[in-house]
Amino acid sequence: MRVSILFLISVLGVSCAPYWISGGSGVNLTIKSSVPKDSSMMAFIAPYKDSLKTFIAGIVGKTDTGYFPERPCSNLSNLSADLVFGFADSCLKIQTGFSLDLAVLNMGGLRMALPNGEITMGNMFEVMPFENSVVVLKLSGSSMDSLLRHIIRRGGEPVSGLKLEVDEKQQYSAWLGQRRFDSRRDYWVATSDYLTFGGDGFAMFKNPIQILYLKKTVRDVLIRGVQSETQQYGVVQKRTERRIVYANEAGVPKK
Amino acid sequence: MPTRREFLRNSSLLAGGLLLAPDALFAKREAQKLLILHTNDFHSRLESFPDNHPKYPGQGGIARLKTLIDQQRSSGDFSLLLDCGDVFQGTPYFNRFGGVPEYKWMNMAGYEATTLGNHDFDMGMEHLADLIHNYARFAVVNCNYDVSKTPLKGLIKPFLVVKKGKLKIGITGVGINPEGLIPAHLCLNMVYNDPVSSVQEQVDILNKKMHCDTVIVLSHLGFEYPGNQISDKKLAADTHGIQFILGGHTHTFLNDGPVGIENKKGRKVVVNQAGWAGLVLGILRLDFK
Repeated sequence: MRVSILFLISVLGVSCAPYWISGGSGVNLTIKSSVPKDSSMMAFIAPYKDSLKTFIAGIVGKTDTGYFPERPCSNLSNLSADLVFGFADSCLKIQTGFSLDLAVLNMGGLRMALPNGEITMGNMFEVMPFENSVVVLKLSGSSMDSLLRHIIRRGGEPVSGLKLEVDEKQQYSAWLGQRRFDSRRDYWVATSDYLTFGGDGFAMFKNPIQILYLKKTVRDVLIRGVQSETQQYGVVQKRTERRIVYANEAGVPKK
Repeated sequence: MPTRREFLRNSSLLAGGLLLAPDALFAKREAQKLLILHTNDFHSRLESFPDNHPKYPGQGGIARLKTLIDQQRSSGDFSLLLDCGDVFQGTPYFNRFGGVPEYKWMNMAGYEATTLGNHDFDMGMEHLADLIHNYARFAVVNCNYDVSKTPLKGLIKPFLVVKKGKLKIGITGVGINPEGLIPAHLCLNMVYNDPVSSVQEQVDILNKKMHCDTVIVLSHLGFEYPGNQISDKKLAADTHGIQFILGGHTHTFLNDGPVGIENKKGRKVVVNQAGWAGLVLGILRLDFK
């Protein structure tokens, strides 16, 4: 809809400038698919598009099964969290000497399944289109408790380093590494910066004891991980174990 | 009844050309026309959305956008092409080419200015500084991010004055609070200042010192929010001396066109936003006299 500027603006100038607005109109025009494409712009994008095509088609690694993002945990969620865990743990050791306890991502951030067979760069971008980067937080025991409860409420999120059992009353037992969760100690947790900004309701990430930005995107970490596992073992290593178990699976939120 | 201007012209005629001063002072000025075109939140959408896209099949993209821009410019009026930030991030083009084709596109399209959106920091300030320094043939304006202790020092303009025909147009830019939006390490040592007072300061300079005929703010604050958060609408209401606030960040589609917001002195300000991803072109056709 075109609107008259005279309805929107006070026309007579108060400034000492010589000109003032006496009329006009404003409209927001949608760039529909019926608008013809400008050929010089098509020519300009073409080499980028070709190069991108080659880039997207590049083989990153190989799988021998499909990897799916499914709650409460799945092979793709386990894989993603494990690769982030491995990367963050080595960075944390170098920077502070401490070991990482847990990696948590969000299932909603894994946007697509990984196919069975060759994995292309395009597949990796589809799984993780966002530029979220890896951060490491030091959390108090009580924040950890909130985190575990949040994961349970959400029906499970990608985790690594954690075994979580939820009983019928939504009470949990948790193990980090081989040790039972202890709410009196602090924990080192790797996640994506998106979640530390309060994404997906992870409010307990907002005020950590300490935060380290690792300056690497989650996608880059996944790409490197898939590459190196394929180089090492021929295919990405399966991770089918159930890390989050609900006594009453029927009551698990799916969304 | 003759207006004051006609009266003076008549009186100078009566004086047989002896009274030159009033005539020169009130000479009938040539009416001026100005076309303002604007985009925001381009998000690296160089190609149109795929034809099977559920929401925007075949829409957007620079090839179609350029056609529309050219069509609008064919009226021959003086024109200004402006952007309101978040040029980057959203397609693999950005990941792969680091923003170079986006800036080249803006040069080719003839953008005069953009402002800083939160996603423009996504590859870090050193990277952004390199892009602006090496590629941008347009101004990057922002008045509320103090970048003097960052790699962006000297590359961001607090305001810009553009001459179009006989018109002098003042442009400033304003950015959103980076807290919780830009990871701290990507905007290290950048100081965020209050949008309202920062903008007012620049607008006063543009009006009083630079004697601009009109003042435009390029904003990446967002169109409106529930509660007290600063937005384009709130900025319009809390300032004076601005005629246009062109915005971004909230990806707002204003299908009914721009809105008018009353400012601090009871005068109206045009506020507009053009969706995102090159899906919409904001068009303002203005007459000046």
